[in-house]
Amino acid sequence: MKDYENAIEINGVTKRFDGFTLDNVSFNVAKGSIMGFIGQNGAGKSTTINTVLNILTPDSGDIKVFGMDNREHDMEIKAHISAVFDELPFHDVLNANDINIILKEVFSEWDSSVFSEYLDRFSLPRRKKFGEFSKGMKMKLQIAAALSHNAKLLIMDEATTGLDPVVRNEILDIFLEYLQDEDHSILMSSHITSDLEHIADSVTFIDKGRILLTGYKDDITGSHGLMRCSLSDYREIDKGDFISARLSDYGADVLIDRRDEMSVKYSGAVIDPVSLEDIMLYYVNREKKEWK
Amino acid sequence: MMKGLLYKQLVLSRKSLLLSVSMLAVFLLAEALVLVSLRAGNLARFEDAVEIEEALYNLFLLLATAMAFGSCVSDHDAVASDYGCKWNMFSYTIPVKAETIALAKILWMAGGYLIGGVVAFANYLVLLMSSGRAFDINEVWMMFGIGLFIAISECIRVPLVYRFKSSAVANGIVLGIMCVVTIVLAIAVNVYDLPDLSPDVIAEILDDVISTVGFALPIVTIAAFVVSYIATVGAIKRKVI
Repeated sequence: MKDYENAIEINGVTKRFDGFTLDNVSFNVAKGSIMGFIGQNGAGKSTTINTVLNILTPDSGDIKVFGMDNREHDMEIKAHISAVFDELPFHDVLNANDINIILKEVFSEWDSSVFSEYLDRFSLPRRKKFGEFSKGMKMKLQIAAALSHNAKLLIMDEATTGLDPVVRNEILDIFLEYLQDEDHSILMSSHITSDLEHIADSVTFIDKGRILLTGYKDDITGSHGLMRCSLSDYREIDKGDFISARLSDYGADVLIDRRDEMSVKYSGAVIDPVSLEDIMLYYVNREKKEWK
Repeated sequence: MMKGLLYKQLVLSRKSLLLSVSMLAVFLLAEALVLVSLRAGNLARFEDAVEIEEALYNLFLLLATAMAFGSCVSDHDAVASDYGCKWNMFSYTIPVKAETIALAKILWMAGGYLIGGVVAFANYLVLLMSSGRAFDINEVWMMFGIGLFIAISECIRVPLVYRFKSSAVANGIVLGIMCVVTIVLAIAVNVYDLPDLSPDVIAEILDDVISTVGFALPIVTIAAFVVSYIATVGAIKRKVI
């Protein structure tokens, strides 16, 4: 595998379905980084991930993984990636020993001892059928399998959804450990933005099939702000200066995307830092402009 | 790679396979006892004892052969359960080609066909010993003809499950095809009374067919697996998720 700058490069990908279009999606996942891919349910996260994994063929645009076209070098790419889904994709009658036997034959770089170490670390039984596993155990098993064949890229589709905070934190720690190797990268889709707040280097926000924001997380949260003002002050703000505003009887919370400029223009206004969740919420309501 | 997929198929089929084999063993014991009992003269007081014995022999041969081939050739709903647990989705993310997945399926069915043949032949020997009949090569061909019929239905069913993500739809289509073929054949032959498809009549039909076109059996068998392989590869490449 030749050297590459971005683990994933998506350029102008469009995929049309009846009632939904993934519209001209473009973003990169830098090598050695973790990108959070956020958006509400049905926004197009899984569709985008499926095009990256070459499960869906886009109508237009191109995708490179490790610098290679994802359709031309399908097998070569798949030997070095791991996909983790929200549900365990293994049959209930199988156990961890069976998975070791099956995946050892599938991945040339499968390491049974690494898999065994993860099983021990996660306290996962080897002979117990997956049908008897809890959701947390299933996710840990999936991650153990994903990390046991020297994958250079982890693609996670809502993998932490439905897990309790303890298990989620345990898994997020594993990801941070995985990223200690500068060749490793992660694309992690989630609508639980608090997870990404902790670990993501960069963030891409998709809504209704379109990319609204993509870039370094700190740049995005740094450039946005939540202006808190009275309703009368809110009426003075130009409509073009904010994304959307949440109105209540006590005043208005207004999301702005040019924080420095706005703090000069509206000097004296209180502008608080924003979380990814706030950004997602206000962007989703951008067409309404005002909401309660 | 192939070993891993075959191992998975074995684990998924294990329970159903054991159950089928156990049922077959019980059936084998029961049919042997019945035939031995008949041979000992338990129906001697009936006028049509010979016809009853003949009908039972044919029934046992047909059922046991169908059970042997059916349990060995079947994929035991593994494809449908792949969809049920998202394994199919996962399989598109690992470095395994559609051709390899399809070949593993076909090898499983072809291997099952051979093992089913051995089991059916063993059953045939038990039947011969129990009934005191002489070995008849046409009956062996007929057994493999039944096996082929089951193998063809499975060869059609597997790509259909990949296509429709459902065993129910695939089974319905296969059943429909089998009904149409049976009716068309019966009408075409225009010899046998269609409503009276009792086991001995079916055996007679198969006997006639085998004695006429028996030489084509291996060719048809291989062709069925090859066509199924091509159709399965096509269905997997459609990436129905």
